[in-house]
Amino acid sequence: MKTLRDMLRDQEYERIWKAYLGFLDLSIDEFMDIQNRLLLEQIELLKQCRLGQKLLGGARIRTVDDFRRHVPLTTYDDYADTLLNQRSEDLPSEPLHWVQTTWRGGAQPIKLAPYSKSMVEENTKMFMASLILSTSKGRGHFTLRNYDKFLYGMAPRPYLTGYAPYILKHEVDFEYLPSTRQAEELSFKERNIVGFKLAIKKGADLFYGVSSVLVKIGESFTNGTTSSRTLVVPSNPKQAWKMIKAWWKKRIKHQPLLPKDLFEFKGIVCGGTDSDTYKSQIEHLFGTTPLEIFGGTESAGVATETWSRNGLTFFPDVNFLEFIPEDEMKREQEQAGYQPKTVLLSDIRPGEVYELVITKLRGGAFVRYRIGDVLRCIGLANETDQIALPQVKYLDRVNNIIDLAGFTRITKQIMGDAIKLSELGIAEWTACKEFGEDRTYIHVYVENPEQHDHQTIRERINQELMTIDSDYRDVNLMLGYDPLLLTEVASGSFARFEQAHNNRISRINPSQEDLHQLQA
Amino acid sequence: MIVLTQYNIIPLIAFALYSIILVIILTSNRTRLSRAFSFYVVAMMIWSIGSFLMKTDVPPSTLFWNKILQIGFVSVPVLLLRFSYVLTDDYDRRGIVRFGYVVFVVMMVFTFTNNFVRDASYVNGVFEYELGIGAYLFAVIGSGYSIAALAIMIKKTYDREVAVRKVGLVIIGLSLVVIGGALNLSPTIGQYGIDILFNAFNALLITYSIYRNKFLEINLVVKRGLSVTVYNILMFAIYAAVIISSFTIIRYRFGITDMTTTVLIMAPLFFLIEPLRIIVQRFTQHVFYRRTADRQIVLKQFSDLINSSLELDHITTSLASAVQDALSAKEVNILLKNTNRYYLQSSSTPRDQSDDLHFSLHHPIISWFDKGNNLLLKTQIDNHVMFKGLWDREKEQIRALNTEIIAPIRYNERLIGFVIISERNDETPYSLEETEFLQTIINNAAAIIENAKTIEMIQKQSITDELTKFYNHRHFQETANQWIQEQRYRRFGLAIIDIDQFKIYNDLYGHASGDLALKRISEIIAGATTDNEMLVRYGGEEFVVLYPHLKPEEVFVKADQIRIAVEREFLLSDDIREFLTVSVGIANYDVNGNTLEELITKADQAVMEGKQSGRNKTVMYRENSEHKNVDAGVQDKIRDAFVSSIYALAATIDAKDHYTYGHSNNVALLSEALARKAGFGDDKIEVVRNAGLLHDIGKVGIPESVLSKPGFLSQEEYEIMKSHVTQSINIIKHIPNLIDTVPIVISHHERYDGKGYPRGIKGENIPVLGRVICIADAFDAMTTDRPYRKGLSLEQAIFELKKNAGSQFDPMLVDLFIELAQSGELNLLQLENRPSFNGA
Repeated sequence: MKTLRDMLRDQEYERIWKAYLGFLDLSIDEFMDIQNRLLLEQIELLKQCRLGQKLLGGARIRTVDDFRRHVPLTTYDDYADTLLNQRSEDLPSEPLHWVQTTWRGGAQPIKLAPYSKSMVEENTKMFMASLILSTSKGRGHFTLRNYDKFLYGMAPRPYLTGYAPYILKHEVDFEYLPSTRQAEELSFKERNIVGFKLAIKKGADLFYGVSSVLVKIGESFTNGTTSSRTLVVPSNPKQAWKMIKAWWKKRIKHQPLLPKDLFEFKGIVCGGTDSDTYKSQIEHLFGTTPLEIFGGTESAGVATETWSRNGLTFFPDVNFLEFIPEDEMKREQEQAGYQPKTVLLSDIRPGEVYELVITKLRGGAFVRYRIGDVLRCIGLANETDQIALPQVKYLDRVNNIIDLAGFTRITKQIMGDAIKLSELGIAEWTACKEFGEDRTYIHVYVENPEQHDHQTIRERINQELMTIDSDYRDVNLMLGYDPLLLTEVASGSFARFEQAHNNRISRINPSQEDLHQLQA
Repeated sequence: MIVLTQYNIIPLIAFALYSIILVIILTSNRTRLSRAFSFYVVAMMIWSIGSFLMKTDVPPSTLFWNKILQIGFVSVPVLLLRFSYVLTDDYDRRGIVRFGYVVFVVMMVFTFTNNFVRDASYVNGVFEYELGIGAYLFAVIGSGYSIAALAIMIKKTYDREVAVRKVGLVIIGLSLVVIGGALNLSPTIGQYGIDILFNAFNALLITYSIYRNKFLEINLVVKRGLSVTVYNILMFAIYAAVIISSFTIIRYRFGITDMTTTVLIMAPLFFLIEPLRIIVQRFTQHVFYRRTADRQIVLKQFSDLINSSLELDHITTSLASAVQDALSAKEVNILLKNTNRYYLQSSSTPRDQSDDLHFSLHHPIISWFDKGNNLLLKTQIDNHVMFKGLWDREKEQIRALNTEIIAPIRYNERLIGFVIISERNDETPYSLEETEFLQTIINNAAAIIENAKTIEMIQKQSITDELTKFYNHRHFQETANQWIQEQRYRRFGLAIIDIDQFKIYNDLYGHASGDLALKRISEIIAGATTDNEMLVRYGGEEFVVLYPHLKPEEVFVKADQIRIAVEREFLLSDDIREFLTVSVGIANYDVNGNTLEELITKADQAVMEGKQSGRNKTVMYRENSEHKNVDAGVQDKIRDAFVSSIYALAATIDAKDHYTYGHSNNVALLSEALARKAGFGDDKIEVVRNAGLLHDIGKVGIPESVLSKPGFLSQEEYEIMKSHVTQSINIIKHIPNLIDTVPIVISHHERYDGKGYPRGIKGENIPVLGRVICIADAFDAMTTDRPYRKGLSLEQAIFELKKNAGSQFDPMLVDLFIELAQSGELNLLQLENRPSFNGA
């Protein structure tokens, strides 16, 4: 089978488009056929392994309907014992890699997810599809080529994103900035800095990174905080010309320098929560509208934007997709133990909000698994791009987690611990996520019984959060802003709220109305 | 005037050859390879035509034509290097290639400023030139490029990245180019244009290599033109050689100078040449059309063969081997459609039996053909979105078959199968002509395959049972008798598999469900047996399996596997409505009997023994078995023991709520009385009495809070309450001797108008004893005291029964019940805990 490298070399662009992006031509019925067919394969694989037998229960499952009727929804707790002990023999297929991520609010600090050979192949294809799309201006068009320079700003192995350069090696010849070998010896932050310097020197064609990091890099560049004092010698005439123009702009015309003066990315792929918030900034700084992809460690790639960059389209063959409608989510919150019902992609409706439930295909371990992401359906087709599949936008993590810029996930437990350890005598508090103009914050509302100084409270809580949660610390260090906002509410407010509503205010992400009433 | 000399003849011939090559390339399909090669050929054409004209007196000047020559000469090495990269599937836009273009531009500057060749002259047929600095510089760079092109080929071959067969001739050709280039440094040899000659050889070798390895799809028209040209050139050479040599011999050896005599002597020679002409013609045809001719022969032979055969196996095997021969494929497999899948019908290479090769009807490849598509290529399977739903196992299957092309077999535009063709023996790609041949041969075969399939199906239908696809009774009799007569096997086992309580199942769920159950059981049997065993639908609910070769104990183990599988699928399944089991009786040939009748009788006796000892048993026939005739008394005792347990259980349910205490017993007595009044026989009366006792046994699983809740139940609670019926069945189905109560118990909440539960059946569809118990149950409930109301009086209860006759109750049975009540017969019953009624 020809690799992407071969097809690019032979200039078979139409064939590449068909192979990687042919799914954009599917109708919803064809899409569902692929989903159903691959789910039946997965059911067969699950039946033959111990983990699968446990999850499927004793029921006879032969059809997609049987599967949805009899198999309960799961969370990582259902897999922790098998996966954290890396019990390969209990899985539907032999893992090639064990991919790691942090487990917020879990029993263990990390989560592991197995990736079989077949899953790795599909995931590679999916990632390539997004990369190709990031350089595309319309159906069938793209400018991605062999030997493109790739500024790679994602977390290293054993995180999922770290595997991509190693897997892509077999598919296509990219020049990574820095090279994978060099990158292995550098920390995440150092790699970004070194990569950026190399990009100034050589030019860069592709970028893949967390949106917030890209904005931070761009801003530092504009403010001159990261531009190194050392002289960067351009390695090709094109880059030399760009540097001369940039110098002219900055020194002679005295205009502020933006990254787009030095770079001409063919495509930028960004991921992470809040990507939507950062998109316009990235475009302003880098001159290229980023293409958002949506996925995670357990799910791998789930959906990608297309060339109009307006709405995510799902990949048909990576996960079996189910959606919990908003009213079912509410009912679950109200009734302990309630099993929410799901709908399929063919049943989602524009304007509605859904929590995503995935079943990994191709021998993956996760079955009806709640990854904790909430999406909004924005249409049943993308008319601009002529895609006849439902389009969604990523909204946020499920309501019981505060996710900041894709960096950290603050749970009730973490917030509670930080407040307790700050030793300020605070017993009543609630915290929620708040969107600023171009960044996101965590807003804590507290009662202050010991009458501490406002600044002290903020600093102490901030300090404790940084101690407990290294990812939170990274928001401070990497993105260079302090995401904590604090509001003190009058003493007794929480008790009054409880009296009035016969219920405590939610500790995490209470509704705006509840917050309003708390402060009233 | 242009005069041909020994100096310019070589460039002219080379130019002619390159022109032919260019025509071939330009009329072939456009690929990266053809593009790279055509640039090289054009450069060579410029070089050779420049060289030719330079060595003539054609104006403007020798130096001018020399400059034209340089354009070709200087560009050849870099284009050769590029071609070399492309041929070895390597990346060709490298710095070194780009640098070569720069060198070309620089050398052109040298050329047109007379720094490449300072002067060139052609005087009196002698060509002389004086080299400049550019020429020496280029000699180094140019030969470097040529050597690099050669080195890439050699290295790739050495590393086994490229097959020697593919590039061997190209390597020889390139070596010639390098040698030719080196010879040029000597003006004495250089003046003859040896380098051009070597380059021409190189081009010929490359052309042949491309043709042989099918790098390019050579157009048929060009091929025909080419074959004529080659034929003409060869004939011209032969005639010229014959005429010149014979003329020389006649003239100089024999001294004959008279033209007429010479012609007369030479004339017969032309007749002698005729056989030679035929040989040359055959040779060119062989070279250019050999495969086409072979394929036509194959097609003809195949057509003759299939027209004389009606046997499916023979036809498909012939098709597979014809396709394999004609296309030189490694492997050809033919799959045909049956009712539920595409199965492997024939294979050109023997396949492992255990390798169960089949494609489901929903296979993406089938969908592809169903959409009217024709040939399917491996690259399409790899890349087309329609194949995203392929299972890993299916991908592996396609890979294991070395699949290169899949061709549909269609009859009347309906897909009846497909042919999977592997890659070719020499791993070169298939040509368009070959795929056309493939479609022709398949189209020829389609109707005949369909015909043969129909005949085979009719033959098969006459010996198989339609529902289960097992052999029918008649075929079994014939085959088994034949086995015995011919003493085909030294031993074999015969197992009769009889479905327990199948009549009840049929009555309860209808014949359609009964057939479905039969089918499922037949699938279970098929799943628990191998191809060696013979499977038979012996009677309505009876199957027979013949186990050749196996010892009695092995037969027992295998037959018991069937029983266990049926039990698991039905009785132990989560679906509480399923209660079927099978009883299996086994007799062994040569152990228990030597005739088929004997074996069947004994296996039947074993089945009976299994049924009598509680069903769901596998029993091997044994002479003088102690269990052979299970005493009817023991049977009764077993059943009594069961029934006592049930009484106890029923009493427990009633006791959960003291208001309903005695309810089950009362329903049993009332139902018995009504059934007797309706004229049912004793056996039915016993069944309905048991059903009455058991009808609410499922309430054991209903939470106390729902069961004893005063007042109305919520919708959710009502749903829970309703589930007691199905739960009752779930309990009863495990008690072998009470299974005949199932249809009654499951219907006691059905309503005559169809608004009842759990099945919502109506009227006569409700088993009649179910309708009986429904009245008894309602009557007892009405007359029971409740915490919030007193029980109804007999009159009130009768009024209610009348009111609901025809809607809730069977009106005829209601009338009979009212007669019972009004005649005072009910008062004689030993009803418990019914003060309101008993007092009436």
